[in-house]
Amino acid sequence: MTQSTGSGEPLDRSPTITGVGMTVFTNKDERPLLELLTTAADRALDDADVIPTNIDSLHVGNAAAEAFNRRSGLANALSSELGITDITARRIENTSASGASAFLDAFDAIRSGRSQAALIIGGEKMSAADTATSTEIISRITHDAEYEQGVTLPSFAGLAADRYFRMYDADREDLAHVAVKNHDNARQNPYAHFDKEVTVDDVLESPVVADPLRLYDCCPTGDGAAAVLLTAGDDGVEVAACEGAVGTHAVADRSDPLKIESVREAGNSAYAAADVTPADIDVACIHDAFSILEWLEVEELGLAERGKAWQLTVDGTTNRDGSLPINPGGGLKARGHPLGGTGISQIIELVWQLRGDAPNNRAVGDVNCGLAVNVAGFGNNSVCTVLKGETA
Amino acid sequence: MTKVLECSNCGYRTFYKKKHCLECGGQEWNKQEPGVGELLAITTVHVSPEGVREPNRLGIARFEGANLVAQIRKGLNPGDNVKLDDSNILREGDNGTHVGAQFAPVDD
Repeated sequence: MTQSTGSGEPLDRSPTITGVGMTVFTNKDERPLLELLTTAADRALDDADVIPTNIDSLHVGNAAAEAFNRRSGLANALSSELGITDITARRIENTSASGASAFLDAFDAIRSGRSQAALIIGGEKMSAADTATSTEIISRITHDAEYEQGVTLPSFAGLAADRYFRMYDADREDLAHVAVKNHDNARQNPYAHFDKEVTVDDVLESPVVADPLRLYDCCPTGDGAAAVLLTAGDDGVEVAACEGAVGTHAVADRSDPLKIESVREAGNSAYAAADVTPADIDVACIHDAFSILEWLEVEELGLAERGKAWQLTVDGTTNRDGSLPINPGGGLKARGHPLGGTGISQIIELVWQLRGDAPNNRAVGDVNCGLAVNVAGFGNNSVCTVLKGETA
Repeated sequence: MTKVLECSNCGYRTFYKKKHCLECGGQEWNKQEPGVGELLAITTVHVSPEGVREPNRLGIARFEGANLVAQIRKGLNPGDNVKLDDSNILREGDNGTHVGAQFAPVDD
């Protein structure tokens, strides 16, 4: 513990990630939320070979422990579990982007000099609530006028998919390939929620959730936690940028149902801060809570022209062995989406890929620059992170 | 009746109540008749929160300067012109029964 009261000098280089760890994302993990978070934290600290008392700050990403688990004061309870006192600790809430928002908070703490070693832990235990309660909790992130219409997040995704198919040349079968790809990636990831191959026919025959989207277009929610140790040192994976942008609360307040301005803004800010362009990105973890979001976000991030992202899926460019692998860990679609854990799990996947730690059957080859985007709600608030490997 | 809120300072229009204008920060709003909109996309939702109809047919429509997501009547398709028809039961939820606007054909 070095700078717990915040008297350090601003950092003149990028923070680095020296340790990562997570639990298996799953439909139901019997362990309590605190134990999940602690387990992920211990794995990240072990990976970095650091003991808890050497941490300067604790940043906990969690969306709704009060509602799912009747647990408040999460950061304080977690500090106690980890045997840490006398440092700054807080919980960050930004719905489904709580994880990346906590990471952004830690990034700022390191860069400002307030912290030399920041532990970020994101997680959620959603299985504690039944499906109806869970749907209600998640649907309450909408504007009151959207709530009144009975709108859910899949509703927005259904509207966007309907619009995309009408505007561009992609069709329902093309979109199914997003789920097929991400399930195939998850099969190689032992931390993923799903270990199940799906075919285009499986997707097209699954139950309709929000027409034209079906069950296999939607990510599973569940239980899981992920943790990262971010430091002011110069060893490890470089965090070249972490930027956030808020969008409109009401989705219809946007100029077009296919636009997610918060992703575009966060992405452009991150590219500028990292001094890279979309062409420099070798691998990306995209917030595919619904299959159509993978296309919309790839376009907002400039990784494809507007109306063209579907072609990258269909022609294999975004496969593990393609020139721009997207969601090699399975994405939200198949790695799973325990809300507060997701943004951190995306960063961990990039770290594994950049360090060359991903197993051969999941490694995406020679990568030096990775991007992750974690999105709150249906684009209400987005956080974009750019990581660089040692040779970048 | 559902109205468009128009910022009295800059003219920004929205259906979604907020204290400050997204464009200029102004706090004064004029209520305007929405007129006729064009349906941009539709969906039929089969998994709804408690108190919401299943299936819930929803659409997004573009009116002059402002878009809106609302429940739609059967038979409407993207490209159709729509008007707002008030006094429909939308859902049971916080504060009891919510009554409000659905999209309806302009000649309804």
